[in-house]
Amino acid sequence: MEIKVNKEKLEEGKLTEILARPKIIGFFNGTEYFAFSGICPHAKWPLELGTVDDCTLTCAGHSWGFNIADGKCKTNPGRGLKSYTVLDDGKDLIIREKDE
Amino acid sequence: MGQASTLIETKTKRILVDPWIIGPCNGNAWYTLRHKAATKKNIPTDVDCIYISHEHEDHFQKETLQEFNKNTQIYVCKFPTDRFYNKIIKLGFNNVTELSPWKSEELSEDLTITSIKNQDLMFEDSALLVQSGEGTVFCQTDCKMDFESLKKVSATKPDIGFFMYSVANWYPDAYNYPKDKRDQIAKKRKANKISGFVNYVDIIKPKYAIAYAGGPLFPHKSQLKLNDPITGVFGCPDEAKHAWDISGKTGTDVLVMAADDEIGIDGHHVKNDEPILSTNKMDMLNELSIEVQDDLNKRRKDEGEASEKLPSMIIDYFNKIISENPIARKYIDMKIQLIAEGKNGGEFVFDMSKQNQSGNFATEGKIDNWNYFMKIPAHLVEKSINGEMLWETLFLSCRWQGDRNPDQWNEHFINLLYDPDPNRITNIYKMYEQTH
Repeated sequence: MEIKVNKEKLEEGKLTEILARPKIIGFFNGTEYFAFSGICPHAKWPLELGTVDDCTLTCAGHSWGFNIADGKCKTNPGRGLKSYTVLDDGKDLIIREKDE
Repeated sequence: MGQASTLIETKTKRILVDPWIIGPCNGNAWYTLRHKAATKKNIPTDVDCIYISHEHEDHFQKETLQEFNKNTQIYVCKFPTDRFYNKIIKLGFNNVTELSPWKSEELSEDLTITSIKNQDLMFEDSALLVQSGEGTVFCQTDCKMDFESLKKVSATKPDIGFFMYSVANWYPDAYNYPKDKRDQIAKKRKANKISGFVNYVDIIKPKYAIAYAGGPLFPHKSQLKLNDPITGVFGCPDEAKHAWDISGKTGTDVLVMAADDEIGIDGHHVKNDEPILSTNKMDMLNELSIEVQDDLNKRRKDEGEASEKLPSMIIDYFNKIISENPIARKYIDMKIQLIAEGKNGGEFVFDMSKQNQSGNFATEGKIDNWNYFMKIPAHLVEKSINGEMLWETLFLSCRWQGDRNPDQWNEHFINLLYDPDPNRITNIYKMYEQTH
């Protein structure tokens, strides 16, 4: 899978849905772009409702925390998000499965 | 009525939800947020039915339930296992009905109740929706709800919603953290939980929202520090209201209600008691603590002592539940040190690490390379092993000390203790492995 997203779609500091199915969320911290699955594995809350502090995304429902760089769950190890490779080609972001 | 206990009166029926009204719960540790302990007179025994969301003692408390006629209609959610249903039957109630999730039960011509099950694979909990011609009331209890269920509740346009706002857990208080780190964790956890309250209210958007099922009081003199409104992890309802008020979100009035206060479907609030707030909590707690101290001490003394056979019980119990559940062991992957403290206690090691796949999983002894450490009064260990007390009840009491290395939650271990039935465990991991 590969999707192309205009960089302007990702506002700095804001969790943004970049694909509906499968749901993928993007985040730009001012320096780097990140992309990961957009549904919390705990209670299926949409993760764009959450908040990001430093490199931790906290789900709005029950505060499960995820590392935005690798998707690993910090509060409940083993229940992480799928994390995607993000390539910056200048104007667009290319988002790919990590094992591709 | 206190904690998640809520009396809902319609023109035709009186429904009581999660009755914990009198006495302590969770290992003689927790009290409801009242500045004066409730008495039997506070229990509305003349109800048409009782809904109980799940088996934790702050929702399902025997001392309160004993005051009800055993013919009282009791409703519970239909969970994957019968364990909770059987517990209520064991208390002597003979009119217990399991409600299928999201299938409304008609109580009278224009009155239905709907049980909403949580989606968690491992832990059973539920919320309740009450709909009548007079209006709609939603009780979250302390159910951690999935997003789709919240949207479905929102679609019913509740007039009143009761929402959990506080941590009600042993983390971080039971663990051996330096004070600075513990305070930092507590502050963050408390803020996250209050933020969750705001998000739940914002999604469901009832006309009126009440912050409840929150932090308890710990009035025993050995546990008073757990109550600190600044450094404690347990919040007060005014903090939830404040968070809502400053959130910029609109469409709902958040109210602070004291136990025994009443609210009409039109939002009319009748104040019958003084609420416990972050500003008066410690004064109120100190009064309560003096009031209940002798009783609490007597209750703790009456817990008795561990029996001489406890060491062999521990070895047998853990060898059994660990050997019977290889799939759980695979995910737990820990070495656990248990210190059963006091008379007839001892030191025990449970080796559930991946390297240990057979033989004795539970032995007496002490190790330095544990991943999880528990120091628990021996007599409470015995109560959990013989089924008198859920392990979670013991943990929730905060009457123990723990440590973790690495410092992380292990849901698989808690799940094994929650109910080690191999069929349940096998079914759970079949589903777990499909999604992880």
